Amino acid sequence: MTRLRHLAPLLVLALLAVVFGVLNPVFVTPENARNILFQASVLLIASCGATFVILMGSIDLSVGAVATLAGVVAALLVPSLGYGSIFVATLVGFAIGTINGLLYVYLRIPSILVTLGVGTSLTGVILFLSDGGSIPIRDAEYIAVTQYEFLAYLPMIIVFAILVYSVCVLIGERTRFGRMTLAIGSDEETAKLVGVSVDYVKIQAFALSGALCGLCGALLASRLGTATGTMGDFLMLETITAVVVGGTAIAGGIGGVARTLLGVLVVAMLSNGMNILAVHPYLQTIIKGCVILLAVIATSRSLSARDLS
Amino acid sequence: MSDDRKPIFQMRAAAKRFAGVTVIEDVDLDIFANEIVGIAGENGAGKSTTLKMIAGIYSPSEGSMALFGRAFAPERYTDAVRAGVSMVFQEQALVPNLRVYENFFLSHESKFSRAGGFVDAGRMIDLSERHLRKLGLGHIDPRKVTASYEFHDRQMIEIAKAFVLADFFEVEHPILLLDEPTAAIGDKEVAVLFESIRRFRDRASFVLITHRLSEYMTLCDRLYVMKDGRMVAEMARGEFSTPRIHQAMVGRERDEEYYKEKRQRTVADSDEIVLSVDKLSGGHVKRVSFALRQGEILGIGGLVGCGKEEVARAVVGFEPFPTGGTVTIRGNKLPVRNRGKSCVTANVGFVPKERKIEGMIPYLSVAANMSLAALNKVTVLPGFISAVRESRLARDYIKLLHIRTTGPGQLCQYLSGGNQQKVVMAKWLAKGVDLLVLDNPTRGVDVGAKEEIYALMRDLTAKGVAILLITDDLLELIGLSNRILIMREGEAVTERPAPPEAKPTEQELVSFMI
Repeated sequence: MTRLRHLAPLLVLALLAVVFGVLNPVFVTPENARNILFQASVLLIASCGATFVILMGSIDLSVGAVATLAGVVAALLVPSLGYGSIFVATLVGFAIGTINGLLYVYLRIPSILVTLGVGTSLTGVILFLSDGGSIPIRDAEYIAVTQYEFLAYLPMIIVFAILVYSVCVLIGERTRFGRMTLAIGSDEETAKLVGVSVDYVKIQAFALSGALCGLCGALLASRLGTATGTMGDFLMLETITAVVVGGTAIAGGIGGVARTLLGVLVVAMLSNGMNILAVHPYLQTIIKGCVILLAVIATSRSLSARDLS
Repeated sequence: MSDDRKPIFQMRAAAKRFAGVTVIEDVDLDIFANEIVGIAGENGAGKSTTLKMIAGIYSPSEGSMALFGRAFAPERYTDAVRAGVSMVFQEQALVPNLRVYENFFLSHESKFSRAGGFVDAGRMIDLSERHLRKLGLGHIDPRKVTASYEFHDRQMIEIAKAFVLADFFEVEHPILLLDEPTAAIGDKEVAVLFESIRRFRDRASFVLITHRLSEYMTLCDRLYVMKDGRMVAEMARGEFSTPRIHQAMVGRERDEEYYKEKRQRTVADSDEIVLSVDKLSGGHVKRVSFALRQGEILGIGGLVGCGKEEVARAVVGFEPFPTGGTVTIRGNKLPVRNRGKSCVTANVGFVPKERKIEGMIPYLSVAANMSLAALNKVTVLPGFISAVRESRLARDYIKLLHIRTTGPGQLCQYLSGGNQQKVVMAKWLAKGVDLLVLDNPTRGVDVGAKEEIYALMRDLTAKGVAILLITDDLLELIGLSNRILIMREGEAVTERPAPPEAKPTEQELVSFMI
């Protein structure tokens, strides 16, 4: 059962590649591979943070809004700060994530509502900052941060994504914080009984998720060459889908960052493939919604199988 | 009981197994009309399991049941209710925010539907009122919200619900199962409850489980006694007396070898006092005091609900716990706030009863579970866990505790109960503890692993670790402890020494428990 669980995302990935490749040869060209990697990189950075939150049995619905806000802030600051705006954007995300965590822990509001409320408010802030329009980035160097190809077809953003992913895997597997997010998701009491400050870990997880969304937003602005008020919206659905498709249980306690990579690739390949096949955009949305439902069903099934054994 | 009457309910050769572990076996039970039947037995003897089989909550692994002369094989509780068997649950099964009549007919509303899909509330209320009046419960208004009634009234509402539904499903003579109905109410309410049960018996039969033997004597016409999952005695009214019931409930052979009694460490006055609890109060725990020296095992026994678990929670800071009085570890008074954390710092380890949800993380590996409390021992650089050190630590404890696993990387969920328990213990040993609090450490653990856990406890005391043992298993309590504290209804009623050469008997201890 567990083996199947580990292999399932890989099988889905292979299946998607074959189906899309057969249906349209454009899918297997290097140019398209670059497109997929572009898309996957942004998603991976946000999903790494989201994995810790979901692993704890919480959820962060503000990822999209945080990324958008950070991207807008970065775009506004590029003329004066240059690369430094990436750092500021990350800090903005970190601050909002910390606020999410504090509200969640100290007011004892379910995380889904905290992040929904905070995310909605941020949407308003974004409209103020961007005046409802988009903010173009004219600094070629800033755009090169993500788009420069250090090898043919390999843009810089991949480096960022791999770096973030590796560090997060390390944090997840080999630090007290990583262990405790899983322990909290499995059972808070066990974590408390070994003397862990559960509240502190929760705040840290939301702060990390926020910071990575902030970084993600800055890189997204660089990749698009502009910051728009809706550019991060897709992240909310896609991070959750990627994390769950990767094999992390939506209720927490099972999974880890390492697996999220496969989930991200599945999601990126799916949207790319559907675009190439010119699937109607409305239908694409329907399919994406179904994918998350299927993934949740698959992961919760094996969850109950575990409980019975 | 006269044999010329036919029982309305029969259970024959019933057995129940959970994942291969036999909980009850070869149980026969009869219920006659208008009868109040008791089932007595120690904690874990199988009383509740038997009751739950009658109620359709568990289905028997073997054997058969018959009700009103027909085969009875309920698949779920509602099947039993339809057939005329209702259970009054220990933790009440009423929805507090619903009105009384809504609770009565919860999930049976469709029988009251009116044109347009509406529910005929008026008819439900009328019916409820009529029944309540007939049962002499006229003071309960079916229109009021259930939560507005006190616990004992809600209990009567549950009993009334059984009658209402029996009538509704046209059962003439319902059977009501009462699982510890007096555990949470005072003497006055008990008297009222018993009076009502007596009054209702001309229309129903009752099966009673209680932890107060005296209640069997006042109420029951017939009494079954269970021990280790079997029926060991059946007594008619007039035949049962407290000593006879005791005798039937306990009286198992204790194997000294099994509990490693020869290795029991003799505690001297010079041994340091590791734990002292002074006038611990709160919840229903009343002024419990005791001390525990290094290398000593202090066992706390008592019936379920006597307060022994609350004492353990207070010692390890597992919220919620009684906050009155003081708990002192090695001379340091533990704070109430964040006590759990202070306990870990003070080298107190806790192996909880529900290990699956409180003791280990099923989806972490054996190694990661073991290092959970001792991460600072396996880290390199600040904060980074070394895989090498972690698995070395795990390998050491796997060997030391004879844990059967494929290796440090195996997920804990795949281990057997006994081996999981050893992992939980290893977690604390890896950290290093002065005091280990064990709450039913061998529950759901197979015989061989039990013996290994006992041996481990002796090894630990030999090294000077103090152990506070909370257990429902009397033989374990007697066999392992240096001293035994018996609690009853929140109070420590006696403390007896239990040196290997003069262990108290089960009967002696039970007489303090009840």
